[in-house]
Amino acid sequence: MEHLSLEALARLVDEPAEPAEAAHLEVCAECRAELDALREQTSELAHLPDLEPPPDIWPAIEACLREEGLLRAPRRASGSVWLRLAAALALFLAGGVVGFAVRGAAQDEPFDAESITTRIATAADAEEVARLLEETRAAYFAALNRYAEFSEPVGTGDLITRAVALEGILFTTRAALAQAPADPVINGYHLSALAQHESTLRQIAFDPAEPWY
Amino acid sequence: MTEAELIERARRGEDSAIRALYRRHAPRVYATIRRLAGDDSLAEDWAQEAWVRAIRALPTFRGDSKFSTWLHRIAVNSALHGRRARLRRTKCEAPLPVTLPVGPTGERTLLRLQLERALERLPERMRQVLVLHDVEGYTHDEIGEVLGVNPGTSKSQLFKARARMRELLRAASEPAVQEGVWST
Repeated sequence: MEHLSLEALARLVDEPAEPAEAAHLEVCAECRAELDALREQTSELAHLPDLEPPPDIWPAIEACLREEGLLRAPRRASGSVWLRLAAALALFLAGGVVGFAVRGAAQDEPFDAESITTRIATAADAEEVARLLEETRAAYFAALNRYAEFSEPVGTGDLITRAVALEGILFTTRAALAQAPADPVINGYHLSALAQHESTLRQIAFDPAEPWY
Repeated sequence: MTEAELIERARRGEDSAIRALYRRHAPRVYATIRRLAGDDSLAEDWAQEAWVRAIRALPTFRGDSKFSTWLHRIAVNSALHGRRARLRRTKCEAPLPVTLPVGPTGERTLLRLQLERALERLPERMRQVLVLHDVEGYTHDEIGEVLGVNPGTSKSQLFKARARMRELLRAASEPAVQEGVWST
């Protein structure tokens, strides 16, 4: 029995089947399964979430807008901004370390550092940055608790979850670096998160049962 | 503050209003551009370009459509225009490395990562049509308008793209069988 082509099945996601196609689908479970998979794929694509932009986009946009005179009142960062950032990042790091040590303390809130990132990148003053970093620290703490719940045995699903969580952390540290590129605490923390992220990606890539893609 | 008030203040160049508009709409704009681009570096350039164009064009926004719709169209046009410009400049460059798309954690994360990965691997025109139709909800007439093709071509590309996506996703879920890694 000749099956329907994938392209023909892809058309049937939106359009009614021709009589011959309908007759084939009646008797062919394999083609019906492919059509169901194509429908699911199409449905999932329609529900893909928005993506948080990398934090260094906003400073570039801001610079262009100022150059064209489209933004008023240039921002002037005071020296205390970086000190406050460093203090907030120290809290952020401490939260992470403690978070790894806590197991079984379930929290339902998803790790959502990305949503904070744009707010950090566009923050108007140091107080707002410090407050947002404190929020991020709390989100990170919750995420690490969640990770600790199922970190053993380590499987690819865990590794992907870890990679995604670390990616969120990197978004946050990049946002902080855009605000304070020379801050040693932020740089140290960013490099640490980067190393962990790369290590996790390598583990995923070398997992023979579940390749990266 | 309502969006209309924000837009009015942003038109006057008020820093806080422009920041607020960016915060509100940046994830949506970036998602569209990232998926059309297929990689991070291009997406960053095009997102930047889209926002600058949008703020520059704010005085022409009359409120006939929703601001998000107007902005989204600018984002799509920036991505399509950006692609053409890049091809002229960097014809011989090697492909950029693929990076991990970021999304929310949760039970659907793996499937969404696979979908994002598969999108990156589609040929450019297939990806554009699939993203515009299946992700962004454009009609074939609208796709024909923005891509400069007829609606029939858009349909044909869409079905090819869906089929290719299906193959990529199937390969992702059955790697050992497909590649014979574990066969003896």
